[in-house]
Amino acid sequence: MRDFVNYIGGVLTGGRAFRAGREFEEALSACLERVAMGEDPYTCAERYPAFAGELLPLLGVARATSRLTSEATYSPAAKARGLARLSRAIAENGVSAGRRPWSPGWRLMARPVAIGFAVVVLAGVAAGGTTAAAADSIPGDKLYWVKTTRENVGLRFRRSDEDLAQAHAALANERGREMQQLIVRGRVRQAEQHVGRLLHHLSLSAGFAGVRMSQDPVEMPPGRVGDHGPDPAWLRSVLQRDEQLLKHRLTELLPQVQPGQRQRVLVIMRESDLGYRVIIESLQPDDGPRPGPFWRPIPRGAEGFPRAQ
Amino acid sequence: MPAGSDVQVDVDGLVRGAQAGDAASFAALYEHFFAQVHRYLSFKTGNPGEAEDLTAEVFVKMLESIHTFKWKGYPFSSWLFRIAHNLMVDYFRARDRRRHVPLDDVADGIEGSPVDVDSRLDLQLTMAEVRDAMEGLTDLQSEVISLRFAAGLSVAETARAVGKNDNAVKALQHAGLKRLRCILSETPSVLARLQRA
Repeated sequence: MRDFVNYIGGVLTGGRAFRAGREFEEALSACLERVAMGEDPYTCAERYPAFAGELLPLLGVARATSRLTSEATYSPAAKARGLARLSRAIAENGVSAGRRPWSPGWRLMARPVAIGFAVVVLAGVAAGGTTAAAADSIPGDKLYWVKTTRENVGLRFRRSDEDLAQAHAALANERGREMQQLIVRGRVRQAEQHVGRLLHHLSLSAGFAGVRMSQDPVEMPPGRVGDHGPDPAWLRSVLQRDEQLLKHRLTELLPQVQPGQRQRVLVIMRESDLGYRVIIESLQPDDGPRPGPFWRPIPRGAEGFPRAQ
Repeated sequence: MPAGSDVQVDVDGLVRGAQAGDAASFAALYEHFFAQVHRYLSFKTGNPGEAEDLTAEVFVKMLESIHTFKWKGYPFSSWLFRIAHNLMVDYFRARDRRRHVPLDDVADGIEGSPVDVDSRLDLQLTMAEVRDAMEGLTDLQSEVISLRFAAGLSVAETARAVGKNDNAVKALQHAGLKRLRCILSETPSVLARLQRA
């Protein structure tokens, strides 16, 4: 009987200790919440006088740790990079990497989702001045992705063919400037690859201006189809100006290029110049006899195309 | 310390929007939780630069698996921080820096409670001191302390994140803080600072 009484006593004692421990943990948790909201630890500890002695030091350690972690900072550029990475993941894989239980049309949302993200990314980096810093970047620079993202987003918000023709002409000019900078930095190979991007924007600009482009511009030179689209005279003058500017830039650069790379730079100059002149020629007014393509001194035939020799 | 100030931001609504493929919802969730996740990972890794990369990875994982998040009555923040925890574990495995100290081993080295630390509520600590002291906690205690005081999760959110009930988290929080206090009390740099004060 005595053993039973002792056993029950032990259970009760242990139970009281258990409850006291639980009560302390509740008090600690409540005080941590209050202190996090700004209450003074002493004030909170006074609510639990039986536990105050043990509460206060724990509150001190918790507060010191919280204060320390609140000082951890991150760079705005890193945050923007993370958002851009998320945007790319959406664009590449769609939401939930292809597992789409809610709608079979999710793929249609992938591009708008990616565009929306890109806009948010740019808003974020613009606030930190990163956009301005990226404006002069060239391929291979850390902020070049900011620049191209901004360009792509800008294109999405343009509505008319004239706007798009204008935008692509400006981008072609910018690609030419980047090409020049690549050559200045000795990255001739990258500059050679960049010619393709310049020609791509020129082609798009011409397309939005109503120019018909063919696979072989020599046998079937590009020409304007109908009268729709933006004023060709305006675009022609812009492209002529940009062509002359790029030629001037690259010509001035030639003496500084290493002899072993000079020929490659000359090829870059000719390719980019040819790209410009093909488009400029196609934008000539269609009123009366047109000279043949500048690379072929052949009068134009009745059907409007140069006679084959 | 409710995570993400749910009172001001409708996190549930954003999660539903994200699950429906709304870009703005994803961006809003990123904005809302980025700082918290970064603080947590920065505290755990001790390397803010790597924490930035890991934080970005957390949200990519969120994107990949958000369709698996089910509304079972526990908060989205808990689910997100579980992703962060798993990534952090992978990080440490890759770097072989993780040290596990079982409960029994820790108990042997901690005796007494010097008054100096107990009486200083304005105790100033360094990240290195705290992280070193955290090495003396069990994994669960360390995780609860990190989620509560670095990430700023509430008890309920922390409980769902570690897969325990609220009472267990309160007990772990108590035990973790108590052990931290004892370890810091024996840290020479902390004691020296207190003596100079």
